[in-house]
Amino acid sequence: MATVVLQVRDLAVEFSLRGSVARAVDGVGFDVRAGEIVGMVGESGSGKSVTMLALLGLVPRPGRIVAGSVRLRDIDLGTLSLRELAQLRGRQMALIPSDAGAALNPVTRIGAQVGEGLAAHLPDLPRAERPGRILDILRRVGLPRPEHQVRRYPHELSGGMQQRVAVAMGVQLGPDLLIADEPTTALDVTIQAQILRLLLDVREQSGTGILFVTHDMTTVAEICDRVLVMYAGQIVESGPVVEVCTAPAHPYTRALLDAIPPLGGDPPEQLTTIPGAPPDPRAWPAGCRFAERCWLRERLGNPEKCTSLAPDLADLESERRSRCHFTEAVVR
Amino acid sequence: MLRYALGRILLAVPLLFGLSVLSFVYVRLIPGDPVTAMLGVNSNPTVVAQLREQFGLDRPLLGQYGDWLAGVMRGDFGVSFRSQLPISTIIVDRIPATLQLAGAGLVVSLLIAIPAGVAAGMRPGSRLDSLITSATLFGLAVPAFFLGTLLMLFFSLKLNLVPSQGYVPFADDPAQSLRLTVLPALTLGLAISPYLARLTRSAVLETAQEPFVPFARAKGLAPRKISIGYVLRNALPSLVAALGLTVASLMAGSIVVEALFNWPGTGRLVTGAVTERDYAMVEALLLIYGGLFIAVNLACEIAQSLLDPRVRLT
Repeated sequence: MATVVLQVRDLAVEFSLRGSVARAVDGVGFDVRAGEIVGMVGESGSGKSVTMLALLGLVPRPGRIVAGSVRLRDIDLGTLSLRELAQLRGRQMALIPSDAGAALNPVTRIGAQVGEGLAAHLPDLPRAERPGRILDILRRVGLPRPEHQVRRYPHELSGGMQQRVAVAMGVQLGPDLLIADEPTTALDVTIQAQILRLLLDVREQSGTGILFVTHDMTTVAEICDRVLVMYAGQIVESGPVVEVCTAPAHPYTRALLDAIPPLGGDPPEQLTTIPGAPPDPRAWPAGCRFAERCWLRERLGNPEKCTSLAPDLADLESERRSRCHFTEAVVR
Repeated sequence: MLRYALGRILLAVPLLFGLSVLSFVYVRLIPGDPVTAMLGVNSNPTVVAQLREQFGLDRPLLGQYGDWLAGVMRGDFGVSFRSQLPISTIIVDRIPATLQLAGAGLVVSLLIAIPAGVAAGMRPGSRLDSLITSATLFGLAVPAFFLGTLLMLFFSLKLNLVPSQGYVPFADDPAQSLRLTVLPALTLGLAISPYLARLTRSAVLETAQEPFVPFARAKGLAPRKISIGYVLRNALPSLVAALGLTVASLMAGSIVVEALFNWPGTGRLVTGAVTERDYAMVEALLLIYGGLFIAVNLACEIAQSLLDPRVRLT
């Protein structure tokens, strides 16, 4: 089995605002292995973005990591100074932003911008060698006519090209871990497919572990090996992607999958949605956090256990885990 | 780009025309005229009438305006009622002193306002931010003449570090000229820096919210590089625009500061000309100040577009 590049244990992130404390991430733990693509799905506010930022050590104030550990290879990120952490970012773990158009510095030419990473992390690299490295990496991510593009500004590039540049910046120093934050949401479908293809190539070529954060179950099914389903700050289900998608073990995952509109055939009268809204992170409910919106609970006649006892993330067969008192009833 | 600049310059023409009408009418709205200012209220009516005729003040307003405007077009602002010297000569004489003060004041204010604004805007809500924000609020509330008097009392009368009053042309005695510039420049700079610091803070604050800032952090760039290359660099276009507007405070501030420090610049001319109802002089100064303000803002607008590659002016 491939080496573990990222190990997250019991991670908790809190935001305290005017006396009330919101625990946006609550006891999240998972691994990413070399050459593996792990999907992290969940709706807005499920804690997936905060988890991602916590890995990078970039939780915005007033948020802070209150518990847990993050290990990258054999380095415990919690023990690093801010400076050491910054040196790790962009080199051993890199981020691919969701909207490259907004994430690139609008006033800096593409070439100079790609070069910033080299300058920051490889100070010994002779200046004269930078342009060659920049062109190399841009060529590798399939940017057409890179020698022409390096002279242009971000806004002069198409969305797909901007995203390729962002990927180039992420992979140029051969990181162990690549965190892709919804890298395809701002793109149209054909470009989406190209970028996904590119990520698969990156994994293939350099054995990078990729954490793929998204709210889109279909993309997860397309490229991920394993998937983590997040809800209300916790992982509610995890496992190999094919099994989770074909036989979900948690009612929330099931509901997410049901919400994907079917391809082909007549469009449905009404799109399937999950009724209700996620609970308030300032006051998580006592029992299962999904109980309020759970179709299974309703079907089982509202067992008292669901609202009184918080379920554990229990091990099922073959690397699968689910946080539900009635997992068997979901699988059937 | 050139076409844009040309268009804007053409657009400034009606603006300047409006300004000329306003400055002409405005001075005449001040009670009293040059003659009463010269002779006092209880003077001989015949003498008054004679002088009024001599200055052309008895003629219809429209005619006076026409003559004046025709002169201005030729670069002739007329003759000062007071000194009987050509106004353009008087003003040109005063310009070096004013430029020296305004330039030094601007440098002082930029040195204070930009670092303060960036520090506050980068960490909104922090203790440093509240300190800077309340300091600027305090600064806005303190009038320049009061601040100048305090500085004068402390640095020159008490500590005897720098002279308190006067002006020596830089060419005559550079060292003494600079020593004399310290207090007025400090006063002027401190007077406008709160305004500029607030504009900087909000520009920086806005830019720091942009997604490219966290992405720069995720790339592992040094904090210094991020504040300068990303935040400040992207806030720069709006800062330049803000700077253009600050020029108005700089002008207004220099009038007060010049009076306070006995600084023989154009600001002194303004106060003197208004008290003496030296119509032609006030008109000329209003027109020049206004024209300068328009020109500076035009320049800032063009600079702003040059600083942002996304803006292509046509």
